[in-house]
Formats: sequence, C-alpha cells, structure tokens
Amino acid sequence: MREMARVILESLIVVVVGTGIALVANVGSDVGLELRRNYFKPVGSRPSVPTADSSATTQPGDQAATRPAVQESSSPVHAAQGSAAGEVANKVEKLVKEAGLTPLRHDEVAALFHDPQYQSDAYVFVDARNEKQYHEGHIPRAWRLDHVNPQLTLDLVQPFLLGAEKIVIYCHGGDCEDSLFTAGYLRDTVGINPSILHVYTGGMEEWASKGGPVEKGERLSGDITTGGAQ
Amino acid sequence: MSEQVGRLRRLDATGVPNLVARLVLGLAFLYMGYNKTTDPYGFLKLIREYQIFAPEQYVWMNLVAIALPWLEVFCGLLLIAGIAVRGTGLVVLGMMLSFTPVVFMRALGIQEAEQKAFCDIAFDCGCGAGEVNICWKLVENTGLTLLAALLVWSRTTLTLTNALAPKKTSVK
Repeated sequence: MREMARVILESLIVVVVGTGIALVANVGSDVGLELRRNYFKPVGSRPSVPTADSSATTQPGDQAATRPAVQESSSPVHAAQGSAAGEVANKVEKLVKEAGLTPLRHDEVAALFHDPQYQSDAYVFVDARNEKQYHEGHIPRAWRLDHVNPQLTLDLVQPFLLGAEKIVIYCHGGDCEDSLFTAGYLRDTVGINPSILHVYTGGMEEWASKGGPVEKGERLSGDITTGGAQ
Repeated sequence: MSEQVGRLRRLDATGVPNLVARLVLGLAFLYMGYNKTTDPYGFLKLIREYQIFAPEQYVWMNLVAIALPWLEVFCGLLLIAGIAVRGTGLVVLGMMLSFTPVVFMRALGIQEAEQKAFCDIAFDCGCGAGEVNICWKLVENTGLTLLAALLVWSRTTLTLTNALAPKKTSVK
C-alpha cells in the first residue's frame, strides 16, 4: 500500500515536472502556442473601410447592416453537391461568407494567377499553412503567412499586402479554416480592407489536383512543377 | 497456478521484461511526442476535432496541446534512462487508458459518416505518427497499455534508480 502511494506520488511529480518543462519549452519556441488565445475564434463580419458616403450610415460591428451587401458580391458556391467533400467545401464557404469575405473557385483563382497583375504584385496570394507544408509545395509567388505565428513573416509580407488590389488566401483545402482565420487576422489586426480579401476554399489540394503549377521550397525558388501532387 | 506465478516472478526478477518494456515504450513516446512538439498548432487542430472541449474551454485545449507532447517526450526519456520507472509507467498507463477509448469513439464517428468497414478507416488521430489504420492503432495501443501496466506492477531492476539507490528499490 505504501509502495503504491510512493508510485502515485512519483507519477504526480513526473506530470508536474513534465508540464513545467512543456510550458518553458513552449515559451522559447518559434511555433509555440499562446495559452490564453482562442485560435478558433469565429471570424465575425466587419464592414469594409468606410468611404465618405457610407461612413455616416454604417457603424463598426453592425453585422446586420454589412452582411447582405457583402454576400451579394460573393462568387457562386462550389458546384460540388451531395458528396461529403462537397458538404465540407460548402460549409467552409458558408463560414467565409458569414465573415463578410469573398470565397473563390478554382477557375477564378487560376484567372487571377495568370493575370499580368499577379506578376506585378497588384494581386497577392497568401499561403496560410505552416512552413513545412509551404516548402513541400505552394502556388508560385505566394507568400507564407499564417494566423498562428504571423510575426515570423509579417514584416516581409506586409508592404505587399498594403499595396495589393486583391489578396487571395488559401490553406490545404477541405475542412481547413486557416485561410479564413488568416483573412480575419489581416482584416482585424493588419487593417486590410475586407473587400480585397478573397479566400480560395479549394486550397492547395484542389490547386495541385487540377494541374496548377506548384513551387517547392522558398518563394521564387524556381523549383516549379505543373500538376504536382501534394 | 502458483508454479506459473513463480515462473513469471523469476522471469521478472531477471529485469529483462522490464527493460524491454521501458525501452519500447520510451522510444515510442519519445518519437510520437517529438513529432507533436514540432507542430503544436497542428496538434491543437487535431485535439479540436475530437470535440472533447467546448469552444469556450480553449485555454484547456491549448494547455493540452502545449503540455502533452513535451510530457510524452519527458516520459520517454525517463523510461529510457530508467529513472522513476514505476511512476512514469503509471503516467503512461493513464495516458493510454484515456486516449484509446477517445480514438476508438472518433473512429466510430468517422465510420458512421463515411459508411466504411471499421478496419478500412485511416485517419490522423493526433498520436504523432500521421495517418494510421484504426485497427492497427488499437492493437498498437493495447500492446503499449500492457507494457505500461507491466512497468507499474513489475519489481524493477536494471534501472538507473536502482543503480543510484540500490537499497531502496532492490528486488526482494
């Protein structure tokens, strides 16, 4: 009995010391988490930067006033219906619309990608996945910026974001919401006008599966394959 | 019956089963824990998919995502080094007995949603080894649970603790 009590005490010490080590290691890590931050906080609707005409009638946070107008400007929903993948895609697309942002389909993203404006940085693509996934393959010229650790790349990307006419954000695809959370971060923290923020809900998985060019390694590495699988 | 128990005790007294158990468990936990430490947000997303925590309990969810990977690494190192083996074994046993039913329940949920045979289901359970087949995972977890139980109940030998303090923990 006494021996068992000793084992239980030993196990408690292991848990306490292990948790302590974890908290210290987390603080020292570039990819550590903030204990008190809600990483999955719903991205609420916010108005576009008010113009002289609209500022008198639209109050910040007045979701009911802004949502219908934003939804009218949204692109058509995904064609995929019935299948589980289609349901997931539609669910994410619904969340994007509810946040007052614009979802994009693959053909719309491809058109922006091939537009000369993309080469001149008027259109900016943002990959919201982690560094490892980005290096495994991203849309050529896309910047990496995720909402979890934006400080890692924001200084580099911010000038391009502030000068952009359109910003397309994507993550893995499927039920991935990181593109939505990153869009919310750019809107709420960086101050990007939501009217230029677009979310490619099909994400990298759809881009690669439909034969879109994929760049490996760093941005502008030149290591580009067409139709490369993830 | 008593003869079989006697044999098992003699086998245990050699310290070999204990050594094998803690090395297998130690390496497994070190590997799976380390994989999770490299992408804590990815692990957090997988925890969220289990829907154990309500959305407003995000601090607890973050704490699990921060603490669990490093706790697994710590337990792995302790087991390999042979320090506090029985206490660590109890922690590992507690983890295995908590995780396995949760993984099983999630697999049942996936089975219901995808209408597949149970053993055809493969998903990333957040265990640290990426996407795995559920039946193989349950067999693996059962094995690890038995090894952890062995560490808790075994009369330990061949550990660093015994080498440093032989009188307190020596075999009877």
